Amino acid sequence: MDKRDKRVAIPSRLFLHTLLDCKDEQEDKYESCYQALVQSIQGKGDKEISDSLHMEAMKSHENICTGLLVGILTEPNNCIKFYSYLSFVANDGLNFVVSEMNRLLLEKFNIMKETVQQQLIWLVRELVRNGVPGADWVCWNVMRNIIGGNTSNRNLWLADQMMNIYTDSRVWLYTMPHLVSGVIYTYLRLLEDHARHNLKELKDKEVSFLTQLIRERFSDVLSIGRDFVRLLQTVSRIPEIEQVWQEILHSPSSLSPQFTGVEQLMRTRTPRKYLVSRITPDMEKKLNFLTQNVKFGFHTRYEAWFQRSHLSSQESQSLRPDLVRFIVSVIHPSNDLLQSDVMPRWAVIGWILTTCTNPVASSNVKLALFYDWIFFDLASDSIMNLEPAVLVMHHSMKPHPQITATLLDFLSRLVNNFLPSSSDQVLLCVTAAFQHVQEKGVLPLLTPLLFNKNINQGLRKSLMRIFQSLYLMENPPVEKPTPVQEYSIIHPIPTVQFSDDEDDSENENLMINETRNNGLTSNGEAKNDNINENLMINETRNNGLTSNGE
Amino acid sequence: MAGTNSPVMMPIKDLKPGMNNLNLTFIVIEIGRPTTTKESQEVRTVKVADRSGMVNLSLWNEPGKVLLSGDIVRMSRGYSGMFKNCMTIYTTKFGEFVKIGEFCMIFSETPNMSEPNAELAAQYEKEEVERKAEIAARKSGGGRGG
Repeated sequence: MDKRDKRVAIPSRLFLHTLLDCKDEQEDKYESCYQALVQSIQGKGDKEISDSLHMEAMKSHENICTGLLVGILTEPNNCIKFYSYLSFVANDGLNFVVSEMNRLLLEKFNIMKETVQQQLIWLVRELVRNGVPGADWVCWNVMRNIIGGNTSNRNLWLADQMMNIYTDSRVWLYTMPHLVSGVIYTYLRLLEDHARHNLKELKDKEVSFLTQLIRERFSDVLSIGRDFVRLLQTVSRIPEIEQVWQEILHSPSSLSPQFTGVEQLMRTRTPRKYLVSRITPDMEKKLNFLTQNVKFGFHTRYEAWFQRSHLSSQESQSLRPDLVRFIVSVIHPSNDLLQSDVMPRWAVIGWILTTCTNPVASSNVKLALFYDWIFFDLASDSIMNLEPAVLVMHHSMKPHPQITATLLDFLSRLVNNFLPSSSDQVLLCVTAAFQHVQEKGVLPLLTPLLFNKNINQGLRKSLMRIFQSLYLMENPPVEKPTPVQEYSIIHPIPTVQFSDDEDDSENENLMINETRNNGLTSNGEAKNDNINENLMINETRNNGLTSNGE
Repeated sequence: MAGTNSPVMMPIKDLKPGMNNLNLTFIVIEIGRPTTTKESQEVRTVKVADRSGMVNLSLWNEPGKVLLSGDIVRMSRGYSGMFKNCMTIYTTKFGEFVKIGEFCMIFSETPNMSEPNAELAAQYEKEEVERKAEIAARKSGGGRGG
């Protein structure tokens, strides 16, 4: 037996190791390059140093750059000197150092010693000040390490530092439109956390920083698309933000001549990189693993571990909507994965939803889940952004009917209240989304979900009224069986009295629909319990073809 | 096989008590509460698993305090025995026990190789007696026994 374990954490120049960690090859390399550097310049005058460095660079460019990087990160008193040596000796425009920094930011940032993190940010500032190529993506990767729902000192410091760098190098920033968009997205999201926790000084600084960016670079706001609106609305109680919102609503052209109004933003799907940017690399890795490798039914432990690492504090609850947006919009499993027994996205969403005890976060989670429905556009939106919401509702019907009910209720209110001035448009878009869901075979029929007899009468009536066109599409008010026709959404809809006693005609119509759908499902059956078999998504979808070649 | 001395990369389901030089990679499922011995040492029973199955690990002192469930560990030169009729694996002073990651490993909690098994325990005891006798014979006899 192993008694009196004398193990201690291995000493490290760069990282905080626990006694369970082992040094990896990369760290050994860092150390040896650093030692070689120190030896080569120790006790030498400037001329000799310059000769030494050149010689080392000829032996190995990579090694000398590595040594100098470690020197910068670990010797605050000498970093200026080391940086000048680096500029002198590097023959690749600092490309190697930049890629090492990206690697450290994506893989090792959270185990770096505090002083090393400070030095890394110092180096980022130098790269920006000197216009080094690739500095923009380094900044992007730093921002990924600013954790949503986290007001620890280190996190706040990081947010503040980057804001200072951008403010001091505004001209440089404005040459990088994608970065401007990323900065706006990040700080608008962080504002939610900083406003809620009364971090007045930081919040005020961010508000002023953001409003200036938004006004001066509205074209970069347009690139973000709909999730900009989502984030803006979360913090619109802040007076300066409210003012921006009012301008967006009532005088869009004052913000930008190309800007026609909020619908333009809502109709633009937010590019994935922004949604990814609000998840740390660690969380991204875990969520990908969960949805690509873990068998459904074997997921409970992973959920508990994720919860413990990332969702255990009250303030971290604001992260949940970010997770949902990531899962809905970024993780798009292949057909093979969809048909396998790997944990489906809807189940991950279900877990995020049901373990949320904070009512504000809960409401934002539901909004995040349905966000691509609100102004759904067949030309630019994907069935994969609709599928999780539908399947959560569908699969919850028997085991957790209150979840289905709460989501349907939320959706019905969303249609009317999201943007009252555009509620007609929203209804059309959500209806089109449902139609797309049905056409693609995610659900062979909408009626068993949307107009389920088991949901509360008031809600059911409300749904039947709001989604009248969908109801009639699947339950046309005729006596004898006729081929169900798709009602165009601009076809005049006859007013019909709905009675609760419609069993017979419904059953006939269900039979008809199953017959019709048999030609479209992959195995000729419409099984409600194994919806994934009916999922028609494939690579040809984007070419306008369904998988049976139509 | 009991008493094997060559390093073996072992799936958990192939473990049997009395093996040496075990190289294993597993994910930590559950860490039990520590028990303090008379010499004020702490020992914990840790459930660990790989793709093939789960087993109990007996972990002493500091590593047990730092380990978290979800950690992925690589261990070398471990050995297996029985403890209270349950197969258990142990670390050794010269063996490695390091965290190499977290979360991203597939595991199966079945078969649980550490289910109480009186027959296995009895068999192991018998083999242990034989093994010790063989060692004693070699030491005193000077030639190779059995």
